[in-house]
Amino acid sequence: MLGAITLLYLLFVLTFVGGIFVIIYHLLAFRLNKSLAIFMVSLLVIGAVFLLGINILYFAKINWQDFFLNNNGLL
Amino acid sequence: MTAKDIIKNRRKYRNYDFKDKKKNEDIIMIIRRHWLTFIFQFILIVVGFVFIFVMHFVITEFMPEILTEQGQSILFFVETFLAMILWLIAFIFWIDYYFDVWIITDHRIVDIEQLGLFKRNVSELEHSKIQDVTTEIHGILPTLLKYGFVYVQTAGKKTRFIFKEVPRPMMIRKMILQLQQKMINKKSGNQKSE
Repeated sequence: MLGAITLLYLLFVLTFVGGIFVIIYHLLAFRLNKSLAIFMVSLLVIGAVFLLGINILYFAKINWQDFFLNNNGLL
Repeated sequence: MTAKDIIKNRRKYRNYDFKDKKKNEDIIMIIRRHWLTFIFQFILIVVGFVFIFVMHFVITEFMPEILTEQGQSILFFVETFLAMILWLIAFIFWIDYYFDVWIITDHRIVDIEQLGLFKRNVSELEHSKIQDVTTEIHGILPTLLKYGFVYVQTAGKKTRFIFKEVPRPMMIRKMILQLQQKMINKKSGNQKSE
C-alpha cells in the first residue's frame, strides 16, 4: 500500500513539475515584455518550490501505515 | 488619450516585442481583454485559497482532538496539496488572459489567440486590407466600464477579425480607421511618385 501511495504521489509531483515547466515555456517563448515575463516566472517558481517543499515534507511525516490500518491514525 | 495621441506616442511599447515583428515596424497599441473578464476567473482562485484558510481555522478551533502529530501532518499535507493545484490553475488563467492579445502596429493588426495551454492561433491583417470596422457594446457592465467588441471586416482570407471584450472599443475603431487612412495615403503617394 505504501508503495502504491508513493507512486501515486510521485505521479502528482511529476505532473505538477511538468505543468510548471509548460507555463515557464509559454512565459518565455511567447513573451511580449521581458521584465514582466521574468517577474512572472520568478513568482511562479518561488511559489511552486515553497508549496512543493512543504507538501513533500508533510507527505514524508505522515505515518501511512497508521493512516490505512488504524483509523487514519487520528484517534 | 485620443486615438491620434496613441498613434503618436509609440515610446510606450519600446520594450515590447513579438515573434515575426519587422525591423521597421512600431507597436502602436497592445490590447487585451478588459481586466474585469480576468477578475471573474481570479475570484475563483481567491475563493479556493479562502476555503483552505477557513478549513484550517474550523479544524483547529472546533476539532482540536484530531490534531495529533499525525493529524497536523495530514491537515498541512491536504492544504498544501490544494494550494499547489490552485497555484497552477491561477497561472493557467493568467496565461489565457495575457496571451489573448491584439497587437496594432503601424503596418498591420496581429491577432494572437491562446486556447488553453497547447493551442495558439495567430493571424494578421494589413491596414490596407481593412474594409470596415464596427464596435459593439452590449450589457450593463460593458456600458458602465466601457468595454466591448470590435469587428474588423477584411478582404483577406480570414474575413472577420474580432477583438473580444476589449476596453475602449470606440477609440480602437477610430485608431484603426486612422491607420488605414494613413496606409492608403502612403500607398497612393508612392504610386504617384512612381
